Parts: sequence; C-alpha cells; structure tokens
Amino acid sequence: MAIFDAYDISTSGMSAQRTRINIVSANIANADTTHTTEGGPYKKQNVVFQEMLLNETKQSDNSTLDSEKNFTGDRPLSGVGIKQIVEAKDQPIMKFEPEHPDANEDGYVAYPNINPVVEMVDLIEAMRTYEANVSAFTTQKTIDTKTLDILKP
Amino acid sequence: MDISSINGISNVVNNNKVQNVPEQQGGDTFASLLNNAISEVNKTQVDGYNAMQGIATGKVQNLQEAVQKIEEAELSLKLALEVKNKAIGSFKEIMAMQV
Repeated sequence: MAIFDAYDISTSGMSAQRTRINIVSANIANADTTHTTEGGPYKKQNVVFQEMLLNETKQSDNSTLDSEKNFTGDRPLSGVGIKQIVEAKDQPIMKFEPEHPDANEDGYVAYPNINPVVEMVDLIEAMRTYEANVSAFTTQKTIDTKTLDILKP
Repeated sequence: MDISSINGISNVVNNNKVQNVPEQQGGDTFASLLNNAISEVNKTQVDGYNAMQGIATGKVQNLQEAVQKIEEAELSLKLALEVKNKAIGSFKEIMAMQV
C-alpha cells in the first residue's frame, strides 16, 4: 500500500543501523582477541551501506495522485541496505608477551588494531542514526493519524 | 387529398431516446471495492497479530519490522473504522431526510 512506503524506508534505515551496531559491538568485544578460526588476530570489520530501491513492483500501482507522481517521478523510493561487510586492512599491533600461547617465535603477540574510543564513537553515531530513523517513523505515524482525524465528525 | 407522412418525426423520436448508461468500464462494483478493502485490512491485522506473537514468544528476527507491521495494522484499522463511520453517517443522514 502506497501510504506505508515511508515506514518501509524508515525500517530499512533501522535495520541497517542495527546491523552496524552489531558489527561495532563485535569489534569492541574482540578488541583484544588474538586467536580466530582463520588464524591470526581478529580484524576490525566495517559496514558499507548502499541505496536500496523499494517497491519496484508497485510501479504499476496507479492509485497514487498525479501530483505525488510528479514529485517522485518514475524513480522508486530508496531505502538503505548493507552492501557488504569489509575487514579493515590495518596491521596488527605487536606486543612482547613471550608467555602468551599465540606468541610468535620472537615472543611477540599480534593484537587487533582496534581503538575502543573510535568504536564507541561509531556506536554512538549508529545509535543516533537509528533514533533519527525512529523519529522519521514517528513523524509519519503522527501525520497519518492527524490526517485520519479529519474524518472524525 | 394526399397527406404525405411527416418524415422528420421518426428521427426526432430516435434522437430523444434516453441514452443507455454505458456499463461500468472498470468492472469494479462498490461491493467488490469494499470487499477488497476489508480483506486488505484483515491481511494487515493478521500480519500485525503474527508480529505481536513473534515478539511475545521471542521468535522475532527483526524487531523494527515487527513494530512496523503492528503500526500498519493499527493505522489501516483506524482508516477502515473512519470510513465505516462516514458511511454509516451518510446512511443516517439519508434516513433522517424529510419526505
């Protein structure tokens, strides 16, 4: 239904930010992980967002007003999605810990190059963006409810 | 005396014939429109209810989509209610009409 398009957009933004929060949480949790299944220390992960065109199948829906069509054109509305999750190319930090089981022959242990402060800032940014999407959702809901109030006698 | 028949009159009669109202082109009667709208509202209600169930049982994969479904269900029900109230209001107006 065309009147619910805005909710789809906001929800796609929330989903994308939720994925980002999950990834950043994994980075924080693994900030000191020296051993992974692929071997070597944990590598910092980053999310890459991409535009996601919504309701391409709803193009044949001719119930929308002409004025609305002029604004959006033939282009479907675009939400956001995750394109891919990339591993950072940072070199690991070497610390001298000869007793450590993951130490190399020189006694150095490779730690992931993750700055918890940067990760916290990323987390806050993701949270704020999530909140912005929630605000957009709530605004849409409010105007829809207000519009329905017109019908009330 | 030979009275010739009036030729023009048949044309006039034909022209004045009440035009048949053409059949509705779309084929959508009011009843079918109403039926479609109600089944659409029912679908959103079922979706919303399933989403609520998912949240309650903890099986929900995507909280924001579940919330979206619930909101859509609420809003479409509100819209359907208002339309119903309007229809009943107009019916009452007609019944209260002086004849």
